[in-house]
Amino acid sequence: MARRLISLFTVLAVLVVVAASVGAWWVIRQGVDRQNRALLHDDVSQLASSLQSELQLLRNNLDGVVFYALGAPAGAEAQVFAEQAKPVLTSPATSVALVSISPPKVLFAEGPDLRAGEYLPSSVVTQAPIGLPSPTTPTLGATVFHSGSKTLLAITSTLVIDPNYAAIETVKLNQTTVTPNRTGPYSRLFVNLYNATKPVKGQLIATTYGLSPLPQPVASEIVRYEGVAWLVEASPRAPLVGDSAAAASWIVLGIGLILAMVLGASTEMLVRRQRHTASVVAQREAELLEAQDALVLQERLSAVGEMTTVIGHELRNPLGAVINSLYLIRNRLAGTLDPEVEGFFDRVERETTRAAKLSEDLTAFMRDRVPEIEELDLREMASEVLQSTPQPSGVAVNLPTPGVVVDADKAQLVQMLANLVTNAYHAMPDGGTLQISGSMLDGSTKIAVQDSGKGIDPAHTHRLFEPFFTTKPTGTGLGLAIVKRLVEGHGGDISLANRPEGGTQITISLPRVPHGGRPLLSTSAHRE
Amino acid sequence: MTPGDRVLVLVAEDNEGLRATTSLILREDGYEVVEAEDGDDALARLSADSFDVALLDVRMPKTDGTTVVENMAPDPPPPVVVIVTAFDIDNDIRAKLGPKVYKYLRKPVAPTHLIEVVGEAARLAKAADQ
Repeated sequence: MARRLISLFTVLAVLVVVAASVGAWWVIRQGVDRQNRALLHDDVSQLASSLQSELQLLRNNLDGVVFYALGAPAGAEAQVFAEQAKPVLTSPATSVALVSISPPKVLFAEGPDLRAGEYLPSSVVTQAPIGLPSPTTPTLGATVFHSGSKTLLAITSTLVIDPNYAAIETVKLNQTTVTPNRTGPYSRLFVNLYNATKPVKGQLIATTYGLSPLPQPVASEIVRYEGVAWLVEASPRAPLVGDSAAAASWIVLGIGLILAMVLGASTEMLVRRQRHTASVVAQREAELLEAQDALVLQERLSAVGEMTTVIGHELRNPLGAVINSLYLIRNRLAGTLDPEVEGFFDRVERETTRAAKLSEDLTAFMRDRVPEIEELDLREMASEVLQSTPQPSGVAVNLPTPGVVVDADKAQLVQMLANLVTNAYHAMPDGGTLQISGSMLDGSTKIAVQDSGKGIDPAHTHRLFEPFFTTKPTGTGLGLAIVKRLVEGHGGDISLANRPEGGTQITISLPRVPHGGRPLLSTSAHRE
Repeated sequence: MTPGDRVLVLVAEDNEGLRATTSLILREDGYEVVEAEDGDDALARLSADSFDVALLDVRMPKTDGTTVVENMAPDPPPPVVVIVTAFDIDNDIRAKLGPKVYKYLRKPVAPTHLIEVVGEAARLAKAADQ
């Protein structure tokens, strides 16, 4: 199974924490927004009531101007008016006048935009309005009007005690940003003030923001006083709840995401560690089972080996008796047998010899004797082997050069060479050359046995050292397996290759043993 | 082999069939053969007569073949010994027996090879007598 880059468990854990963080962010943000809007609403209400107070004060002031001017001694009216008007003229853009109602004519004026003797524009008269007050007619009004290139706000107050006169104050509007006083709600808010109950552009009489729409959130309230209805709308310059409160949701979200990352990393680490531990445990378990199986197999093989050895030995005596008897029978009947019966005898002899060979090979294969190492001359050993192994006709033999020394168990080296020589002879049924050579290297002796036969089918090379694998019709399949086992018992190694010029070469490398001791690799017990 | 050349061979082997056929092959080849069925029997025969050649099995009841070789009396003069065995002989036993053993043969021995080796041993024994 392909392992995922990140475990599902980690992904789930991270998703849960991220979802919780986003949820907390949303809840906090909603709370902060609600609080912000509530504070804004409070500020706008405060603004509205302060505007209302200002309108009330303005009306009192305007009424005062008219009252004192009318009550002044004859001839001193203009002077008294001028004195009374001063507190009302709050800026150079402000003008104040005392007007008669019919006709609406300016009697006294101060400021740049009103002149004594001028008539008031009709829009001011009708819109403000100026006229006889009644219980239902408001005494204070306001309107925006144009005079030449100027746009002016006019606030009129009709005098209750003498409704033939009214006071008017005009303020030149620039309809762009005005700088408010920096105290109270203005310091916190952007404010637009309209001389209307709706945010009509032409009726904008003051703004601290400009002509663009106010940024959200916006709260508004209508200020009503007598005939004046002004819309005040505002939005906060900065979060009213405070920067830290506004940032709280983002801080929570940030912490949540960091937590998710940390949690994800540690979960992943734990998951991986757990996975690793599980795999190590599984591996150990598998190794243990394998070792157990190997032990059981080893014990079985050991029992089988013991049995094979006993059978191998015990078969030899009866086989010997059969071979001897056959020899005696053939001697007695010599010359009297027809060829067919001779053929039967040949077959009996061949198969019995083969059975004897198999019993010998089985015993040799199962024999587990610790090699008794001695220094041997390779040429001498090879000669001994060649003497006891019948040389087929047509085969030439080249012996190793004298002086090549091998550290080996004599009987086992003889057995190795005998098996290899027998194989080589079988590989050359039509004759050829057998070459046995040796070379002494640093720490080992290399022995090569070459034949000039047909070589080995590459498909078989990897199986040739397996017990009972054979390509020969009469082979037991144990020859090379025995050689391999004996070589390994000496701590050496063996390899097989086809020669480029034809035939096979088997190379054995046996380690040199410094003090005639036993090779390190051999741990098998002496059995016989 | 001429009739005057009497060659006395001891065949010590506990397997009756093998012992009988081996003896018969040698007799048919002209040897005079005495059979022994275990190691003690072999030692008794060897002390009673002067043998030229002794074919000794290793694993035999009572006394094994290698012990027989070790315990052979100097008189009568011991035969040329050929050990025939189904088992490996350890190098140290070979070293201990040394020149007292002429040859080691692995069972089963081909009859022709047997005749050949016994012939060599007999010639060796006769040469030593002279």
